[in-house]
Amino acid sequence: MEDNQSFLDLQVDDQAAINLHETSKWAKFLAVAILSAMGLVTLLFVAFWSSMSSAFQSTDDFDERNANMLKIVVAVCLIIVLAIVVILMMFLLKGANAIRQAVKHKDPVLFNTGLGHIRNYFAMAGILSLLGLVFKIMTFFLQ
Amino acid sequence: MEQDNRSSDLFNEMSIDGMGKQYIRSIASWAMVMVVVAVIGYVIEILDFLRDKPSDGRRVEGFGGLTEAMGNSSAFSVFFGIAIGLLINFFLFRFASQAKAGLDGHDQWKLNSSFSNLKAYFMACSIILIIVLVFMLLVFVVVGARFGTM
Repeated sequence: MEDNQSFLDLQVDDQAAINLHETSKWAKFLAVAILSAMGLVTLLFVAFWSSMSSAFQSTDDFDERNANMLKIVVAVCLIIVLAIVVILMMFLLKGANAIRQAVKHKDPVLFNTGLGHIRNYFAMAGILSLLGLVFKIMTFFLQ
Repeated sequence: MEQDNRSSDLFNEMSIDGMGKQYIRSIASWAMVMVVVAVIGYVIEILDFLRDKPSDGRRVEGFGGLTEAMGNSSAFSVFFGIAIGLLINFFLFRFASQAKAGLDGHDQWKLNSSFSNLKAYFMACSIILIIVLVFMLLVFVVVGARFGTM
């Protein structure tokens, strides 16, 4: 009876294993690409830190004090965004790696761990998108 | 004995236990939230684009030309962005709906199809990210060359 139940239960069959393997490969690629892009943005920000004030002053009517203030605000925003993106992408990376290994070794515990990380990734992305929507609605009605 | 081994190899698939099903259900729910939020966001974006904007009332105190330049978006960029977003969210929607249907109806084919759609979602995101990064790199090179000659 138990064997029958297991036979009828949902499984990671060959087709699902291929799809999950491909999914984990693309998810890993996406996470690595986004982390690399964020690293590049940070490097560019550090490299152009000194010339940023003059760029702000030439773009807009800022005096030096306001330009420095804007520089600090931009730096704080970048650090916050960087922290959020790194946490988000680490969930995706860990999930992708765990699912890949689980499919390879047919390990259900590792598979659940991977799904848990992917769940965390989607939950965090969902909460961030909800916050974004609230901000969008606020700006739409306040304009 | 040999018969037993052959039979265990035949059914040696990794089964999705209760915890796994719960995780997949949760992933599908959050994915659906993301799709709904994205679609509402696109509607607001279109409404915002169609709304009459006062041309001289957009200057924010202390941030004059910068905010005005950032706020002006062309029809092409708005609708192109929405089209790409809809394409990505279409895959996510199909993943979420098929995963839920597969789990509820014990339908292996639907579950497999949902994983295929999740793959397509990550693939589309990756390809679009690469295109955006290459475009940004080109813009950066052009701007850098322009500032270099000044």
